[in-house]
Amino acid sequence: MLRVLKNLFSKESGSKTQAKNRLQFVLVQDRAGLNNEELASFRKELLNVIEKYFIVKEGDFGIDYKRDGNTTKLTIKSPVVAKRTVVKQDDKSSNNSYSQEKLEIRSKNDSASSSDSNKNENSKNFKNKKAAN
Amino acid sequence: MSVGNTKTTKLADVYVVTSGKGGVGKTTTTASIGAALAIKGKRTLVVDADIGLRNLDVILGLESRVVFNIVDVAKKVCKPNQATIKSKKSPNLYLLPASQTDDKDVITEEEVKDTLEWYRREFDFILIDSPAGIEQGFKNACVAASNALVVTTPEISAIRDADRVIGLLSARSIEPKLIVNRIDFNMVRRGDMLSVTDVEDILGIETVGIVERDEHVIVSANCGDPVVYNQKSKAGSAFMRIASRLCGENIPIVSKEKSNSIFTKLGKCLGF
Repeated sequence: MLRVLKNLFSKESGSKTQAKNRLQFVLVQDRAGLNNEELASFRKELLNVIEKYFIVKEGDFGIDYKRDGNTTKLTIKSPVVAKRTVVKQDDKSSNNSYSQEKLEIRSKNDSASSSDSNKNENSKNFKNKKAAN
Repeated sequence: MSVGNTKTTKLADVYVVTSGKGGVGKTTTTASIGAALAIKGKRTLVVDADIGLRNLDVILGLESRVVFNIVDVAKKVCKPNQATIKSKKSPNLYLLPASQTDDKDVITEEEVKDTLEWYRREFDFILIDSPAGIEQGFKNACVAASNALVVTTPEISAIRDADRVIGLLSARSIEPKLIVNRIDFNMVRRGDMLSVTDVEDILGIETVGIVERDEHVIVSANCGDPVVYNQKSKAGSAFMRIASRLCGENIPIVSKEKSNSIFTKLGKCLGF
């Protein structure tokens, strides 16, 4: 009960999450010099590859492109709900050459900490996605 | 030049204060940190590099004393020591004003660099107030600096522009430090304003100070007295702390953004 109340009034309900997500998106464009379309297809292709092996929370999927001293670091944040039991088949053969950029996949297993309502939401999302596929 | 304290033989550390976006508090920051360094006994020159739109003179309450300006020094119309104006409040603080009637490209980067070289021997710190934008005025403000303070507010547009400026400074091999200005911790706790941690996380540079939104800043500007002279002002003490950090003092950065809502407190009591 307390946790539900706390969630209601927690930071996640504020507009800053939206600001942060929008900023991160626009900064990847600014820093990497990708246009809207390129970035959207880059995001989609990456997500497809990850979804072949994992069930992910798409809303929390994020790409970050950061300076790190003299190099730039591309970070993919993809909260994983679960591993797929059967690897999802893809029509196209995947291309694994990621140029010189360092690719990091930080996976965060949310299922351990998320509340029941969250879990339901995940499975709902998953069902929707399945239906869409 | 008659200055309060005697200067050591070391050349001045030159900082550019910049932001990309206008209106985030560059001039206030320059004036306040400059005045704070002077209070700490450091011989400090603040330079207004915003040619055509000068304001550092009014923030410091020195507008009636401007005779010559940075363009006059660069074009050798006057000697460097004739253009600086001593602050009314501190014998350690001087202003080199901008010209109000010229364009930003009236002086070249080379001329700015040569001009400031003379002052480097006379002062401990030189703070250059950069104009908004990333054009010639910004380039002129950066050319003589080896350090930078990037000022941002916790707003999406200011952060985006700060990021652009950080990229440009890095290309000049300058490692900028961040000042998060006009933060409202109530809004942060409510989740309606990006926190200092969020801003640091996005911009990826070290923070040198956090300045809370404070009405005293406007009152000080109205009177032409730097806010650091107001003991009650939170912003004033924040700028004092930044000045101490620039002098190498180890003062931890404290952020009051942790949620202190009744739910968090209750949660803590119950072990959540």
